Amino acid sequence: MLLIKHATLYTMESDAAPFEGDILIKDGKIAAIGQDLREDSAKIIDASGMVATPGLVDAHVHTGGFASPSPDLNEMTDPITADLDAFYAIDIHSDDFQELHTRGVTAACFIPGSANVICGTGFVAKTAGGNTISDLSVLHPAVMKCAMGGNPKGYGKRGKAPMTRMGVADLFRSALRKAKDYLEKKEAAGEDKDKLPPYDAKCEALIPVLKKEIPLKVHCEQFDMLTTIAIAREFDCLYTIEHGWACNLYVDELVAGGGSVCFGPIGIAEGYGELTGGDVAYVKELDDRGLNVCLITDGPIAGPEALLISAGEAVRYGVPHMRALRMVTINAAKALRVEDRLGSLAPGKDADVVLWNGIPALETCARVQYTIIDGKIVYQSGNINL
Amino acid sequence: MGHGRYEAGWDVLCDGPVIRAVGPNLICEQGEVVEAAGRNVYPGIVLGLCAVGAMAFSEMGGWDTNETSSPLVPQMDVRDSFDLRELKLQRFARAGITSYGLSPGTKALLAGQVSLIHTDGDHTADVFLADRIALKGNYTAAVKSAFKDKGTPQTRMAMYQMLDEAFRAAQEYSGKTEKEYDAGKEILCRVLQREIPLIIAANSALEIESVVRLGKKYSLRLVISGAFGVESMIADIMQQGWHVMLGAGTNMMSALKNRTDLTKLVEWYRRGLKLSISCSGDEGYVYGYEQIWWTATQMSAAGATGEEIMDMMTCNAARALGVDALVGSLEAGKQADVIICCGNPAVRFDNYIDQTVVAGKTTFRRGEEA
Repeated sequence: MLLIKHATLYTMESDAAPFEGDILIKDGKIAAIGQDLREDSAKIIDASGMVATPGLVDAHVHTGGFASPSPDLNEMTDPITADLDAFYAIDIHSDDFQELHTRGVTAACFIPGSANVICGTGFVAKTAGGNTISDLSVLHPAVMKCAMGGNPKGYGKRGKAPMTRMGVADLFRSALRKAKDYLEKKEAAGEDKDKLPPYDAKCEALIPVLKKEIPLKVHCEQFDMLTTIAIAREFDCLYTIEHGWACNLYVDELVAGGGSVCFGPIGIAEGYGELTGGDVAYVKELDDRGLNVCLITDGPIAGPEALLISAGEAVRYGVPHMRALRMVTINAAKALRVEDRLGSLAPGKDADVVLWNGIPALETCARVQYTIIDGKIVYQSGNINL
Repeated sequence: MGHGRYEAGWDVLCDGPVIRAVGPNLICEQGEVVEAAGRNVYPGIVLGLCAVGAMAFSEMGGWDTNETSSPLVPQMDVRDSFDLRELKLQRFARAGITSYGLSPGTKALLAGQVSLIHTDGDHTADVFLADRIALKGNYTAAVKSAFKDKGTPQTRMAMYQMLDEAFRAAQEYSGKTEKEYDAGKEILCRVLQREIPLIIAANSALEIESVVRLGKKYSLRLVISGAFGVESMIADIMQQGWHVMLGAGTNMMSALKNRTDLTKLVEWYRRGLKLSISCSGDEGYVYGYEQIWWTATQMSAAGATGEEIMDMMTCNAARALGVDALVGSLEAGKQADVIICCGNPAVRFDNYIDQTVVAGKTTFRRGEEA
């Protein structure tokens, strides 16, 4: 048992104003939040002068699977690899994975890279406190990672499809249509094994998408997001928009579509085509219009410290502080459909708590003093490393 | 004001592109008066190194900052790759960045010459403040990977030997009275004579140690950029009076490969280390110059004060580039590059830049963005 005393609590439950209070943790869960909590047998952290937030949640990372010399998240042999699973590519002992919790990131969605049109399954996991990926896993499968635009067009250089955005969309639709037919045949067969269609691992992996059990998590910038919305509508699937650069041009469509926007990494120089619109200021309008928006680092493309900095930069360019903090906590949990366990401080939720020495995303001096995952202290502050 | 000096209630008088006077109770009979009471006024941010503006990074043919036909191309002049359109697409003014060291790329050992440019101007000629202010070198893994299919260098041994030989040959060249003109050696002679600094990217303790050795051997003016893992060589660097231009740590895992202890760096800074913070470029990825503020945030978390951080982003960077006579502080005769802020944006995310002035012209006003 752990009792955190006298912290300034940013619970992220609705837009609750911060207040001073205690958090009691039992069996890895938050047991109570309030003033003057007592529990004689609990270890006590005196958090006077500290700010408590829920652990940060990064909805889009490749951390643990991207580092050279042996990256493992882009199987570039087939543009449709729905049957592959990032679960078998994330090394929790890698340097970049080990860094996540020290920056206050307590959970993340680990996904395949964006080289293929359908890249494979992603999962949500904690970032410390266990010895295996199975120990850390929160939701698996959680998403089906897909990619539009320039990255899967890489096949074109090798004389294969897709070589255009038309080709990308065609392959995407074909794969979903095939899986839909497969599912219908399976359902029609019922218990009759003789009538089952031949086993197809790719179609099997897409069944949870068609049943709306997991969303398509689609890498897209600029007008690719319109294609994504159209395809998700055609197949009646859930979707989230990943990266979302230049989303300012498609606000109406995004709001009508309803899928979460996982925006980032931010701060790219402005180029042409896909390399435009990585401006964090754009999330304000989406958020104002009620869309669920979270910020992502694309780790390790940007380091884990960039998650909180992104929220700070959102504040710098006009997003109210509490809204920005939601974009790296509860909104990310919602985008991953794990908000029943993660993303806010409330009784019954996982005891993933970060204690800071300042107000995160508002005071730049704020740094992690404690990271607590499932009620265990997994990090205490030291020097700041770049 | 730069140089660690801050004065309350003073005025800044800008005459065209230049500051005419800084002091209390200045009078301006003609011209626009900007009331900045309650505001913090700083010199515009000077970004040490940035390749944006000369990259053509959306073109298929490869970036215009990386000439890798040879590992030694000191004669390349980044100005010849500059594209005003690319500059005009950017958000420099919103980030308070008023000038920067436009730099050739990250892949050649000696990559070419740096220019100082303003972040705004109607014509290319207006934008350039100073040409050939420094030589950009790279002593990183990026060099090895750039040349791995092209020949040498394949190892850091070869990287060191090539640099050593280049400077030795330039020394020999400078001693000759009759010689065939060699554009590259001419530049290296300027470096050997300490007319211009060598800004060299080095991103691990080993790389930095090698670069320090080379710098001492030829008595160069060194600026070590990127500089992840610089701690082990700090004493030597301070003794030589060299500059450290810290790169953006979140960029493409760059800091992850070689962590830098910022808490220690802040301590060294207070003991005299010449330190500026910069941004992208040293890993070659198209990333944002706004990241200078991210590094500022990390410096703040490591214990640096807002004033110290602003110095690292203004006058210190200008000194590293050797252009402190032009930019980096609010003094008479310097470029009228000014940011007017609500509070210090380096210490709180809700402090903001209200107005950015480049060469006497307002290029950004909060709330009036296009």
